Amino acid sequence: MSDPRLASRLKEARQAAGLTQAELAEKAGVSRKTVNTVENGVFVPSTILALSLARALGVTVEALFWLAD
Amino acid sequence: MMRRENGAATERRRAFRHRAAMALCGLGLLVAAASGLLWEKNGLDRHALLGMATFSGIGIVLVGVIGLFAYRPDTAEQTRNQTGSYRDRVQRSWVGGITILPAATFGLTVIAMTRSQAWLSGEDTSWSGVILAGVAVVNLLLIPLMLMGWDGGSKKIKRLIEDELTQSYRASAITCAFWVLLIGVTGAYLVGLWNPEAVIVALPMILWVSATTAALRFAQLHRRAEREMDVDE
Repeated sequence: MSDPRLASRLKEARQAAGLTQAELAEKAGVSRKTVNTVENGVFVPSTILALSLARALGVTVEALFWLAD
Repeated sequence: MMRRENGAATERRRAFRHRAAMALCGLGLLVAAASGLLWEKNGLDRHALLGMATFSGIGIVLVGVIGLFAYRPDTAEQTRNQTGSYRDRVQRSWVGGITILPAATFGLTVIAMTRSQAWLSGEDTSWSGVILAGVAVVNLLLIPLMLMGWDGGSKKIKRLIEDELTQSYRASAITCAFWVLLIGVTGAYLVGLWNPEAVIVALPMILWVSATTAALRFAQLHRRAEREMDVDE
């Protein structure tokens, strides 16, 4: 489920937005577990989930996820 | 901040109770061992008294073991980290239900096996026996049905349960169970070349093991994700 090619700045973006994992989860319509596993790189989100998280944080998907070199 | 202080106090109380349970457990072991030794000497006519002491010791050990389990350390901290939204709580209770299903259906699997054996051997040729064998094994379908979220319930609850992580864990659990089923059925086919009746009797158990694999793998993935949750800040 994890992929070393995916880099993420989700935790930083969430903290910058002043949200807890539970609050972000609520806004994105997922469980807190999902947010936590994405933040820790344990779970690779689908395009839909990545877009939902980006929308909930008011940023673009590219600002949250990118391909690590 | 307040919540963290409360959590720390709870953890301190829990640690104290854990130590108390451990001491109780040790005392119980000591009493049981000492009484057992005296029992062995067989000197005075104190058998009833020593028997009571032995069983009291065992009783104390049991209470201690329950205490050790109930007040194991770090549980308060873990519970605090695991708190989440309503969705998380619904998912937690749903996964709990899936976890107990294998134990609940094990008895039915054994019934299906014994009834099918009785039917095949000609011991019991009544229709009620064969119907019971069929119904008992059909009950095993409850496990995959519940895992897939097809067990009824309101649309709202289903929406809360169905998130991407759940779907991913479900896929992993079903894949795992598929391999177990494949190996089980292959083994059954090979055995069936010599003893076809044994295969029919064993099939409910193969189905139970496969369904249980799916349920337990799913629960294990969920629990692991909960255990590894960070402090929510």
